Amino acid sequence: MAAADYALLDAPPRSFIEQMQRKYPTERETDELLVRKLERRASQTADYHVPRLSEMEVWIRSFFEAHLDGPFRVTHLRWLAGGASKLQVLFEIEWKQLGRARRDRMVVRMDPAESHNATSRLREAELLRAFSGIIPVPEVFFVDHEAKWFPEPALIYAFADGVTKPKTTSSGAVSGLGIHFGAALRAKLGPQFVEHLAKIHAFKVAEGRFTTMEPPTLGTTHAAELQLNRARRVWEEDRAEDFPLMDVAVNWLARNLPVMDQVSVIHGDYRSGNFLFDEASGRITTWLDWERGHLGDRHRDLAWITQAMFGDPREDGRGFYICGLLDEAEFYEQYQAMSGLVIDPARLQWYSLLNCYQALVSTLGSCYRVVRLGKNHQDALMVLLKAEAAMASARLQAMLREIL
Amino acid sequence: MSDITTNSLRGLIKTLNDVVVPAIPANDPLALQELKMVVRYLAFCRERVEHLYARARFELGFYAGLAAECGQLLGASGAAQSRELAALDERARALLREPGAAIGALRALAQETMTRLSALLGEVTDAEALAKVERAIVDGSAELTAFDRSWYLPLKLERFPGEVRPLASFIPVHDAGR
Repeated sequence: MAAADYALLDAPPRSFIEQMQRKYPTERETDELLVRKLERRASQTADYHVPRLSEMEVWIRSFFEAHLDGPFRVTHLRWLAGGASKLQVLFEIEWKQLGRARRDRMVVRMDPAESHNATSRLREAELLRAFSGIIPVPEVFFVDHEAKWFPEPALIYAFADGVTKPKTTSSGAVSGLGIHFGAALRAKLGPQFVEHLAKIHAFKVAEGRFTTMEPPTLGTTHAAELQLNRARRVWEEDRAEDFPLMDVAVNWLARNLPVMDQVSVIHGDYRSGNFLFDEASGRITTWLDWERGHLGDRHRDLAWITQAMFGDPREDGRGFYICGLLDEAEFYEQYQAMSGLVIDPARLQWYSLLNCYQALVSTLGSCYRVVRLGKNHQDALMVLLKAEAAMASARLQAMLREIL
Repeated sequence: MSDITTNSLRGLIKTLNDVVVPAIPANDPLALQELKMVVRYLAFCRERVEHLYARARFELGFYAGLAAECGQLLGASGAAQSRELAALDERARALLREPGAAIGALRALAQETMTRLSALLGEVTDAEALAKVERAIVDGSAELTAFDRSWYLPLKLERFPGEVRPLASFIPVHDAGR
């Protein structure tokens, strides 16, 4: 594609959408989401504005009027920060469930008109329901998957108490990246962090009753192909420039697709910033942001967690604590002991490179497109994430230098 | 009349911090988060706006040099591609010599060169030549990625700032006490 043609991606023609589908086959639901994303670029009007809180209130009330038999009262609405890719509103509701009076704090988690991460609220709800009682997750109340009551697909779940980072730290200001927990919290949170991951990966997929995800074929490279295709497709759909280093990475990834030995549930964005904890006790109270969840190879999560962008530099200057919580070797050791699953260094390397490529797709490509289209509520965050692209490209270069 | 962009940005940042940030209601953390990021990016712009032209020259010079190097690695089967890459390098050198070349022209040619190099990586069928080109791009990119880390350092997201080289080690930097 010539440089000037990248503007076409603001409203891509049908032929381009079909070309993407043919060239990069991926999960069924992912394909639907990516097609919807491109179709809406062409069909939406330019007079979009970020929803006002008053508009959200109207949509919330209409939703409950349609879904509750009895009277209800919605109060105390407010925006929530965090959750880099979704609009989130907290509110209180008095209602009746099966004849029992309830008073809950709930969160509406709704897609923006254009997200740097096109994902499914229905899938997120299925994953949260599957892990209820296994690890701490919020209770899911409702899903408006087809955006019948809200302007975009939305999920309504219970608000969970807790913080993403210690109140005294200034770290992690951007999307919870690079949180400094300190030694005392590291000691309490680190083991829970590993234990919960081990439970996710050891979960029996057949028990999940998932309708939005199909397991990739065992004993083949299918899982890796699906993830590589997804990342390449999003790059082609969102970017505004070429970056030869990324093409070198794609060449290597395509030549070295790994075989998957066991299907696991993959959280997709398992890291500090995506769990809440009680600062006094050091107990993790909930796991959030399952939007990148899928069925695949556990090494995808393991390699994601160990990215430098989520790390916190060690006090002694020797590398970093992964997700600000654990030494890398300590993390791998605890994970294998708790999950009973082995770590394959070759697959870890492959997924590390894929994740780094994915981080660049998102921060260099998707964030640019989202800001350009002006249909998101966090343009400032999207802009700032360009700095993450600089770090990710340096890491990609260093990894490729080692493996080529 | 002198350009006062950096001083103006200083004033805008101060206004946002002193007047607007305190006026954000406590129950709107999203607005506060975004506003603080706006301030952070404006501060970044203030640090970097004077160097945008030098950056465009650096990037064009980098990619032109890389194109020339890759062209020499292609061998006989890639003679046509090699000539294309050499021509891009030549155009870049001419543009960089041109006094007052527009920043848009510098950027456009850098982008054209990046696009050609990306396409090349999908075209080369000779495994040995492809391996050489890939290696050259990876090795060469060390300087570019180091430059980008330096460029974005004022955004204060860098995890290892001690590893980052000063901007002056890549491009001419003149601090006139802005």
